[in-house]
Amino acid sequence: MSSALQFDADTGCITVAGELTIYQANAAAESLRSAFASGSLRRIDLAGVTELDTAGLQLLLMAERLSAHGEDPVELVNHSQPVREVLEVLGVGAPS
Amino acid sequence: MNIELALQTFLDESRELLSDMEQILLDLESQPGESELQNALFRCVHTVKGSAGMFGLDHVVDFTHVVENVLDRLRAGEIKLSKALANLLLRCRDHISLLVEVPEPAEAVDLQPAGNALLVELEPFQSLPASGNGQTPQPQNSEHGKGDLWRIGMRIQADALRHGMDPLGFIRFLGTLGELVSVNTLDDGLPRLDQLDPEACYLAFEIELRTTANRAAIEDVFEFAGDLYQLQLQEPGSAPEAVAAPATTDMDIVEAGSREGKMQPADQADAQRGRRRKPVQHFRVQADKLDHLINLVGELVIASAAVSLDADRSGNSTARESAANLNLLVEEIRDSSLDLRMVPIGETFQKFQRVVRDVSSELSKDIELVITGADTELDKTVVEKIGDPLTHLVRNACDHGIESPAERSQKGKPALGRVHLNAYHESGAIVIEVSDDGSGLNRDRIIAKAVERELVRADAELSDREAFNLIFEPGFSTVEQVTNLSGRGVGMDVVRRNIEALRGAVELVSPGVAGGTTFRIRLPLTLAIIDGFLARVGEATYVVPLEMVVECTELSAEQQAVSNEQHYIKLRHEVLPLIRLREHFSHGGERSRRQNIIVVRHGGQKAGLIVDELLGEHQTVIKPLSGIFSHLKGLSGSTILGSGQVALILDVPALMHQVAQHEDVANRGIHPNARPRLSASYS
Repeated sequence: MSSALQFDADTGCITVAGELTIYQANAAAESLRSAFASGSLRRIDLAGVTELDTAGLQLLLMAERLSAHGEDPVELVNHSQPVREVLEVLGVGAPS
Repeated sequence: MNIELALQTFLDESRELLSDMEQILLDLESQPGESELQNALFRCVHTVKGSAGMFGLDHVVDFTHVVENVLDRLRAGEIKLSKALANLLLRCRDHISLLVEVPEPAEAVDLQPAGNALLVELEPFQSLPASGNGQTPQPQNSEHGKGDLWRIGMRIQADALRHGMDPLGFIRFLGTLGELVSVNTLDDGLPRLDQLDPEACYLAFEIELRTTANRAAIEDVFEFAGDLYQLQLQEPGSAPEAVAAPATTDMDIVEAGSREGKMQPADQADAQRGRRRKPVQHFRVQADKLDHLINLVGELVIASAAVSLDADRSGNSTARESAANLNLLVEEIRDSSLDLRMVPIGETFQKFQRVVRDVSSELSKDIELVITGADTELDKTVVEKIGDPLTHLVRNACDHGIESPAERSQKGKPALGRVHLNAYHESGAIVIEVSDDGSGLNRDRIIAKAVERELVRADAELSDREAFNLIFEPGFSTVEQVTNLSGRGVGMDVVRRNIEALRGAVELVSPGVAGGTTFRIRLPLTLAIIDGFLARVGEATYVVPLEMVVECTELSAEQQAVSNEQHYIKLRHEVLPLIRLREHFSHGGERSRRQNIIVVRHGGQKAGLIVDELLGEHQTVIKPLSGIFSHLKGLSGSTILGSGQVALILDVPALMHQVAQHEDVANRGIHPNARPRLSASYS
């Protein structure tokens, strides 16, 4: 039940490790907010995501939207298999 | 986070559904081909599968899926419910009930071999019989690209995720019904990041599903989510815009429970068939919360007794009036809270349909179970504990009571044996009878056996009743041939002990109500609180359960003189054995000048208890005696009086039993009939 959102201010990249589910949603949203507030958020690296549920997915969709409004788009990169699987089921557009 | 709670609800519901399933299967045997029942059977399994799928319990889904297929063919009339299939399905049901108790698919490996064996047996029913007549099997779920295209609009309450109802689970499960042609995730509802509640659900979905399943089957997937999900189902072939339009614009959460309301009239019949609402609304309460409440009510009863006592002593009339009011209310609260724990015994009785069915096929006898008095209510805690003794008695009736078919036809009895379960209320107690129409008990054989086992002396004079009740003695079994079923160590003595532990009693009547043997179990309605009758002996106060008290009267001087010499008294032409509590419990001190007698009745016998003073009725909260006192005979518990004093509750059946034994010893061999027996009554 661990998930860590590590924000590296230098690279502007959040790396997610472990589960991204409703159990981690509050903490993850907090990290996302502060990373976004810092203004340097560019990317979210999903390689380490082992499980994703709807709560987690909402956060990712939210993050993508941040990119739509901001000057520099926030990118979701390195989708792990569990993430791809969810995106495929929901037809939210799996990355190529 | 409520996922554990949701899982618990799933477990509770599954247990209920599985017990329904058992019942329906048994009903179907007597009404073969009844399509309502076949549909209901299918729905039971289908709902279990659906809910299990929601929680990712793949081990349950995989197994139930096959069972569901077989049931689907059954309701389509492609196969018939033979005896063999009914047996198999019952065993599958048992297996499913094991599976649902396992929380993780990985932990179910132990059950795998048993499950696989069942699957192999199911195989011939699932596929077409070799001599098939051209019908094509229709595996419902796996064929992609077949069936109709359904459009499903899915609105989700914000709380759904917190309740463990992740839409992903539902969508994945929908995928098992057919082919998910498209899923459109609507994220317009997402708020701004700073307003986001990360645990709330903001998404909605539009799904296109190609499936052969019907509307009810699709709705059943969401059955478990209750009002957290609102669906819009678009019939195959109708215009897609209708559902797409509101779906994209309207993100408001639709008011709870409006799912049915939205359906077109044409759908309603279908919906009613699919989900018939129970007329009585129930909601679940944790059992220990209820127990806690009952304990508190017990304390309340004691406290209010103390208040009344103080009010009485104070001589203040307003205080006394308030106390009386309070008492009335407390009594009502007591009754209605005890009532909460009352359940009809029918549910317990129904379980024996299966027992009788299994046992009779094992013994190759033909036995039917008749149930009456299923509505009779008793305390849930009693119900839980009565199951084992009853099982034993029912098995016993099938095994020893009912004769073999050959024997029956010889006697000119119908081949179909009958075991009868009956329940009714009688003076504050519930009576449960297990009867059979077998040959009854053989008195001589019982006595011979008892003598052989040194339970009675060979020259003992026994009434029929005493003789028959010998079978409850430890180490007694009359069957010469130990069969598979009963006679495996757990004897009638254990049955009696279990029942006595519930402050109940069991007796045996032969010939019984149905001709054979009748076991009659008498149990108190509740274990927590009783109405008691208080009496004083020396310094001590005793409580007699009020329902056992027949009358109280003062002993006249003349009677007193006579009764001092004797162990019985003649009261209005009736001879009563006497129990002197002062001597019985070895109280010292002087007998008071005036003595009173409390006439008690238990199980058709009467006796008189001699006490110093009658103190009147008292609501009694039963507190168990601690282990140190558990060897004391004749006391069943204690209670606290309003004054704070402890009073002891008399175990009247045990007292009467003791006296009867005492009498027997005194009488045996000398003057067998010189003295009246406990049960005798000269009128």
